[in-house]
Amino acid sequence: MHKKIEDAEQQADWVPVQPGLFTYPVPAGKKPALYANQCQTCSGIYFPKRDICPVCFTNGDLVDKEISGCGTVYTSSIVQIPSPSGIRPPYACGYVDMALENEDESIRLYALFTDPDPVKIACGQTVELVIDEVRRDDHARAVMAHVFRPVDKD
Amino acid sequence: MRDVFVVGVGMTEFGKHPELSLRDLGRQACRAAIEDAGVKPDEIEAGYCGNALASVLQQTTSVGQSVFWEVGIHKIPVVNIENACASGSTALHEAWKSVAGGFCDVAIVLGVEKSVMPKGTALNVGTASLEAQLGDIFPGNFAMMAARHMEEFGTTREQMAQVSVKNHISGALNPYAQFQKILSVEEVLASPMIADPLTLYSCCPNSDGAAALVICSADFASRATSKAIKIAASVLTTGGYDNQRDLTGWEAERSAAAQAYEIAGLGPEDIDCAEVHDAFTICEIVHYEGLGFCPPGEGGRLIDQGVTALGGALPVNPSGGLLSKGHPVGASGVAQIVELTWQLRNEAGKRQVADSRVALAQIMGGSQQGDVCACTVHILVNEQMPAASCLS
Repeated sequence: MHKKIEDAEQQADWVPVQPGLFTYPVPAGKKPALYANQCQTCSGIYFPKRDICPVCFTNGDLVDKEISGCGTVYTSSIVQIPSPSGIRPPYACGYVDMALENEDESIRLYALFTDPDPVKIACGQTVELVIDEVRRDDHARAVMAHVFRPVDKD
Repeated sequence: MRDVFVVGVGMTEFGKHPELSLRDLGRQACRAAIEDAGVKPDEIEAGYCGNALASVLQQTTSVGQSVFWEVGIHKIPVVNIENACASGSTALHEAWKSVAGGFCDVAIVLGVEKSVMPKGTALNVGTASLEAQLGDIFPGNFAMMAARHMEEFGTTREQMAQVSVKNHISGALNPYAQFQKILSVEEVLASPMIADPLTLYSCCPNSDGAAALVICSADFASRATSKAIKIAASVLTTGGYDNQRDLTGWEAERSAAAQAYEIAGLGPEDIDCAEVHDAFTICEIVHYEGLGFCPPGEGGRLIDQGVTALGGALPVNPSGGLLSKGHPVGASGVAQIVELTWQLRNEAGKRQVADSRVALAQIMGGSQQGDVCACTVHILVNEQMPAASCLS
């Protein structure tokens, strides 16, 4: 059984950066979404999902939530040296504030941007969640992750 | 709790030491500290070693035991501590607890690291976390902090560059510093971009080096040959990792500083000089705010006014800081205490801050969810110097 899964993984030409963060390929008719969860006691939101709310120390009280659509850049930078994990420069990274659908709550999360253009990723700019390749692994497979794409305002 | 004193300090020159092992560097620093204290190795009752990266970079562990045995310290409790850039200062905190709590009278504290990386590569602190997988490296992390600080408070690239200029002026007066070169604001800004807005000379180097301390109880200090410096406060905090965290400062730092001032019965106005964690230029500006040297958002103005330069009202990083002295990760927190002990003993040579009685050391390390993992604040006092003398 395990052998079969390994074979399947070997054959795929992509891998997620970490399991359980999103569904890829994105299902037809759906927006790319990240899987978070929220504590029903304190409203804390966690991405990646957690087993226990670290504030309330309750389990079984965490409800799945999806994060999708557009967010606002809180801060960003363009990095000119390679990362030890293999992201090649120049690359743009930052923190993006994402509101949860039908909720007052929002979450601030770290991610890469598709485009190392300082104007498009400046504080306050609107960006959209996509799932994209961030690097190649040792088997030349695409490593897929959540990435933010600048949204043209016109 | 009992009073605890620093009675012996020593360090290696910081820089590139490809020919020296962790053991070699550690031995040199420990020997210097033991000789400075005038103690015998077999009088030392506990050993604490801070090292952050040997398991990643040298594929080795238990560095403390291997170094302490080199200087004849063995058969006693030895603890190895990893707390990122705060590894060395956490080792001091734990040793301080041991002496303050009455579990031993004399302890040795070592910080040692070999973290020189191939040119043009970021320090490899491990790639297991999701953020690290997605390219969250320290220069980028602090560049994002700088971008937000600029956005909210109008902090400028020139103000940040001025931190590097100031610390290189001090470093050029410190024979232990990796860089002995004065830089201009223009040179800092024109150096290669690492992570916008941070250029090469806005970032501390990766370094090899070691620093060591002998600390002890009041009874033992009265027998020491050197001037004893009191540890008036030793505080360790960790991050809250809150979502929606304000990335222009650290609650872990504000909290550590508030606790340290309360324990010492002192405030930011009492500090004569400080060593802070200037891994990147923006850090020092944010630390001015976190430690209460100025209100939030005004760190840039403090550097403009020259308050924190040698000769100013509150010199910060008289050693040259991490930017100029170098940053052997696990050693830096211990080296700060070495420098401040020299300052308080009036033994700091050309970079001596006049009439120093009270000094503060702050260092922090690690990154999780954009928050810091560990932060320490230590306050040191030379009690042999009357408080009134700092008014002169």
